[in-house]
Amino acid sequence: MPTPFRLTASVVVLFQLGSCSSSQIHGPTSDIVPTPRSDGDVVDQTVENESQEAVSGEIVQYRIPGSAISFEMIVVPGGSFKLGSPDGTEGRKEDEAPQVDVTVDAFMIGRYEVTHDEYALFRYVDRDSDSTAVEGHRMEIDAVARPSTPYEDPAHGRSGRGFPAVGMTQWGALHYAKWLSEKTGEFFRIPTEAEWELACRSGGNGDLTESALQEVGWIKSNSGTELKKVGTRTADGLGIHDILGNAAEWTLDQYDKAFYSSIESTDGLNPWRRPTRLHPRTVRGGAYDDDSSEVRCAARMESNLNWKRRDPQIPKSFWWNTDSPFVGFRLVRPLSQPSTDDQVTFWQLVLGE
Amino acid sequence: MKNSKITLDGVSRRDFVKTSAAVVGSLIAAQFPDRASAFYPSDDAINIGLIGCGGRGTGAAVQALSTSQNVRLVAMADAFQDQLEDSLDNITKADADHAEAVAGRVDVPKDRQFVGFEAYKQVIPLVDVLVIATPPGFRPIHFAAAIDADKHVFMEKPLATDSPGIRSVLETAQRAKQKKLNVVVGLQRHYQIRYQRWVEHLQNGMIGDITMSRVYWNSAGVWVRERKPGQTEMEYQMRNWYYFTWLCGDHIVEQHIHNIDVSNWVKQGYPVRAQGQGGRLIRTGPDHGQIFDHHYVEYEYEDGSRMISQCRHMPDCMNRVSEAFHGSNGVAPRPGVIQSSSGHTLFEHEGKNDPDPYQVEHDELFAAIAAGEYKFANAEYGAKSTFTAILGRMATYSGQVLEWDEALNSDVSLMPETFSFDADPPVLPDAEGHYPVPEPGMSIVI
Repeated sequence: MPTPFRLTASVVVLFQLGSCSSSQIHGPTSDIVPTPRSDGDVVDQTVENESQEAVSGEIVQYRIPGSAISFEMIVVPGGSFKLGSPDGTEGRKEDEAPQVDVTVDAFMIGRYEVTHDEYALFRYVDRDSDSTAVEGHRMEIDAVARPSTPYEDPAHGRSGRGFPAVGMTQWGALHYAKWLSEKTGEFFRIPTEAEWELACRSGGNGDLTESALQEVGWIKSNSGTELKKVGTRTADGLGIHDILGNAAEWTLDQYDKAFYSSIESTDGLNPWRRPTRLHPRTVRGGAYDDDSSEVRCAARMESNLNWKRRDPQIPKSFWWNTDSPFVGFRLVRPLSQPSTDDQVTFWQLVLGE
Repeated sequence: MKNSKITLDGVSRRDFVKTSAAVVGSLIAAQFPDRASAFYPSDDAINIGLIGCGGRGTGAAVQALSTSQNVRLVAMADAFQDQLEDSLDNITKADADHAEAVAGRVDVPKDRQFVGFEAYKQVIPLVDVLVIATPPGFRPIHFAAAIDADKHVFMEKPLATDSPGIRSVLETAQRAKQKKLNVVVGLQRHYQIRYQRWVEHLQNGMIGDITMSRVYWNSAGVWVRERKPGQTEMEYQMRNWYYFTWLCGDHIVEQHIHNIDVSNWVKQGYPVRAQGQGGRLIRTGPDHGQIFDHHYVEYEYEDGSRMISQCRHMPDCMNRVSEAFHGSNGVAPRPGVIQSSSGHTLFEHEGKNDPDPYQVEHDELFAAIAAGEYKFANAEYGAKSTFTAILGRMATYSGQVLEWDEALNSDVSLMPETFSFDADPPVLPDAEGHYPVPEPGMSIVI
């Protein structure tokens, strides 16, 4: 599946990272590795690679333009797999059935959940530099929709450098992805349920014992019921950290208990239950305050109004929940990048623009 | 529900409540004109008026309308027409999460929408219960008017911004008691199961004597409303009210009161003195009026124990909105958790599915009103916890040690002489648009 694969010079491909020794990390061919200028400035240079193969576990580092903050994405090759869990799986719920064959295109997924540090660049206009331009496109910094000031503290005290950003609504997560897309000229979004589950299963997390789960994830039995900094448990087989446990993760889908049976009658290609209403939406991965039965690749959590229960104002915040300090998000970047027009359509669809 | 809306001049409510509510309700309803219901087709609804139509007032109105009693919103007042209209739109929005709960319960035609400083006076006669959520500086005036007219009240915290205001609220609270009018104050932790159980254990001595309280409201801050062309100074301050002490009380009063109040609740008393420090480091622009962005106060209770209070409005610093207690035999590190001195858990409240305390406070208030019961007299502790926060502010503004009694008896009023959009507010900007900011060591606060 060779895909034209556009990289700006703010991209650096890492060859080796100590903590993911078990993952398969391939060095990229030199022609897609741009050389950062020695002064570290972002170069508005686009490199195309016509023969890019999705290499499982490859880690790509992006620096957020106009900042010193970077994040890393890991390649998840596309493919077919069974979405959902088989009969007899411990902790299995009805909404994990029936298992259905689906096929998902290749993508990259965040090595970590989006951190407090990254989200703060978007959240606070005074940290968001206007100095970068991508492909002649200059962001209108003042025109960016940014999170309002939250009531109390959406993270319930567990925020700061290195923590996953939590407590935002799915709207807040999507707006971050849109902002980052505009800033970098690359298309980022949050994963569909199917993409998320493929990433989880690809890392060898499909059937973990309690103790194996505690190795890779912060869950109720080992976290002291507290959110932890990202990457403080072992990476999974693909090099991804915290996909299970710690912060649960927003996906792009409306929660629909009967979603999988509705896929049965289709070709199962890139399934996505498009949202038509605000609640419930699907959250994956379980959290630091969940029992292990809720922290599985197949387990599905649904958002609900109760997550805003202590928001005393009306209208309640679009950006923040008062009572979901256990939900954050992870980015994906489809290897096959949609056209500019398709991106516009996508944001209109998911943000009601 | 007839009995709920009886408002009788000169008739003792004590006598009324003593007897069976149902019987007396129907008797009195037959004998006396019912002032509120006289305006509406005769039915059993409890009529609600909203004074102060901002986000919180709108939220409180929706919560009042979401109770299981037969309630109806019939009149609204705000300083500004646009704010009132936005509020009504948000309450009645067809696709709102609360649409089903409030359906058929909102009846606020144009002639029951009132605007301006005096608008509250027009709402009061039309209703049985007032929901008051104006900026805190107005609370003493609106509360007194509601109780004078024999109305039940839900009012948001804090209850005043200065000493004369607190004394007024305390006096009105006494009259509300005499009249047996239910008064609920939006210190909603008192209606939150996690706090109710936690505080009960602490009051009952689970960790012995409480020797120190630690209370925090460290958060990013709140909204700012920029000055718009054509606004008078008074209109600008009323729009951007959070940043003016006469309207808001400063954030130690407006938000941190919640945490200070929990300490008073646990201690079953109020501090006798306070000293502290504060200032403005981040929030220093003309749109930030005159309030501080951080305060640190040490309060002393009568038994010599201390309350350490921190509040900060600065983005991306350590956030904490919480309370903790240290006792002679253990510690309560966060709400819902109590541990022995050796770290053994003595009490832990799970609470993931606890009800929304903002809804519970309305559920309980309206259930009492509907049943003709007198159950809630929150104004006194609301006023004293408000004053605890004001005392802290006086300490950080002045840099002095301030005694409770002396400060409470102060005649320093922050309020304007005249309430009018053409009148001068009590603080005015200099040529560069900056407002006078308190100077510790210099500022006179009492």
